[in-house]
Amino acid sequence: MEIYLRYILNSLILLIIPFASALILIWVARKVIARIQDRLGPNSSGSWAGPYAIFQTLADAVKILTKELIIPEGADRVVFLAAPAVVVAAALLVWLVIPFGPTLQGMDPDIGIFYVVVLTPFTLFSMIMAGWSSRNKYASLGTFRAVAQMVSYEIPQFLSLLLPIMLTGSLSLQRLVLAQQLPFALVLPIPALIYFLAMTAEVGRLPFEQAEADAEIVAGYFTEYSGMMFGAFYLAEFINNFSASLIFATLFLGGWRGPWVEQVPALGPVWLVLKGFLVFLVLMLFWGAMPRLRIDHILNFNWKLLTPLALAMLIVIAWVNRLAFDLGATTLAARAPWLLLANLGVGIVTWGILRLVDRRAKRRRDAQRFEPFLE
Amino acid sequence: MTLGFGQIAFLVIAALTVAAALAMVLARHIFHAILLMIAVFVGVAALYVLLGVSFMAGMQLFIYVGGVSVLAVLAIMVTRGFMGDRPRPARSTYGAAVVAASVFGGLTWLILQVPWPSEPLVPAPQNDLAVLGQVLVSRAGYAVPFELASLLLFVVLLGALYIARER
Amino acid sequence: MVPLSWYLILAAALFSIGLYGLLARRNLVMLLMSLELLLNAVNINLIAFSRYLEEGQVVGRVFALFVYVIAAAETALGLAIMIAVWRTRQTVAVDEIDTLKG
Repeated sequence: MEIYLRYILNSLILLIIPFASALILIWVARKVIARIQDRLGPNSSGSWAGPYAIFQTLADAVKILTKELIIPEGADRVVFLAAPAVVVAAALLVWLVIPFGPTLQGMDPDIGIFYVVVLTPFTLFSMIMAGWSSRNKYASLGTFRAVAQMVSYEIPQFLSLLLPIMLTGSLSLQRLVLAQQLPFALVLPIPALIYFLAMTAEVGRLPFEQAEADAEIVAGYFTEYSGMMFGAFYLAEFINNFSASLIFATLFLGGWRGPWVEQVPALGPVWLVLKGFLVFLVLMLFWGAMPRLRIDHILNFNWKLLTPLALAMLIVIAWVNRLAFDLGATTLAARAPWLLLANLGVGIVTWGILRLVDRRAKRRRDAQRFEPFLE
Repeated sequence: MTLGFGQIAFLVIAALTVAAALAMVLARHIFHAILLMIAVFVGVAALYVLLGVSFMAGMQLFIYVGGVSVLAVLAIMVTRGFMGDRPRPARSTYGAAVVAASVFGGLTWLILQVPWPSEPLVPAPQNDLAVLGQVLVSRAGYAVPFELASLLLFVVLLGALYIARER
Repeated sequence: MVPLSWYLILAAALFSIGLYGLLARRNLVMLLMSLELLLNAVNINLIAFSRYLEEGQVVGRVFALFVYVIAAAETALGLAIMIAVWRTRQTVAVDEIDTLKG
């Protein structure tokens, strides 16, 4: 009997929470963006939209469900219809392993975080399926960009992911949380930053929004989708944003750990959702405040800065961690100053190199600018 | 003979995997073939989960879906316009089918000659990734092949870049 | 539990299907994908054998990991060759690439 109750609980986590949170988060996002742009955002659309129009998204969802589903002429029907299903499935499956509390977790497989990593290619493939089956040049352009961007940003993301795993000695998400006597973001600030930027690129938020870039290629890979099929992509995007924020909070911000959580275990999910929500807000602030980078700038930033930096961090932290361990610092708290020092060192060297490169580039620019006068 | 949960799960997954594989080699369109190939990979990963080695399932999906299939799609995008694949004249297809069917028949006959165990020797290992990792990098284990594999990957990627670069 | 022979027969089926793809198709990408089917069949065998017959439960997985390395290398190289051939000949059908034939 108990096992069936557990199954039901798991299914609820898997199905209801992501959708419900997406409905609220879409409202939050619209409000935040509106405030940044000095607008009111959704405020009141009829009497039943609730205070501050908090149910606006629900009304939009009902409206979108009544729209006609248009399948373009010449599209590959099966693949075209399968793509939204794949993207929603991939977005929902992550929720199965997010640890909301010491015992509140859908399941804790021994491959843990690796399971989350394995789901990213499925999101990518749903984009490829959507873009290819639409037979639309904007859709294929969006797909080109999505593939290039997501495949490259996976690399720094996974490289910086290795560091919390290394400090924990386990892939299990629950163990990763339990190992954080102090949040990994305080011990590994640079890898946390790399992970956050790569994560932003993976979920396709500004400034890494080239896959949909609504001002240039309409809506990228889902240009041709209408009605609830478009709704599926839109919902999956927000679910992905929030689950990525939750995973970031789990990996680097201590997950469900927080004050008084030992006395009141029910506080665990509250802390995790609070932390995840803060990360999500930062994503939204990026969205409101950042310009859209060009695709070659995005790729250069990844291959010339993030990936080498993540590799250097991996080597340096592995070495320093071992050194501190051999010198008698067996707990994470005792090793924290060492690791922070290593972060600081790598950060200063990186800053120096960037400054040097920048100065050289500026000198070259200046030389070009003054050339006509010299002749 | 009654079928347990594991056996039913195996039969369902195996049927879907073989069906996807057949559809893949018969697919008209390369893109459909790639999607069906992903279905085969997911099926094989499910079999690994059934065998109790979920790490291999993760590796399978990570390398094949995240690596091989994406690479195939990228290659198709770079060389757009050839997606169609004209079928060969009927005779050689029949020949291939005969060869493949006889290989399958022969292998099955051979397999059925041997009294294989129906139960695993030991229960499925739990949380033994550390053991696997240590075997891979210890000198008594597979450190040399491991390093050679990384060297192979490095050389192959350099070679692939050299071959495929724009001239 | 599932008998070991079932896994072996499934692997044999996947191997034969891959063999059919290798013999019957002429698109280079299809050939590479059929090769991946063969490697997958081999991996199923390795892991099933390791699971049913091996005491330590490690060697089979280590070999399967090496097969993954080979698979990745083979795909990267094969697709690079395909792109190069496409640039010079505008075709990827294997029996049209016959310049070396006397």
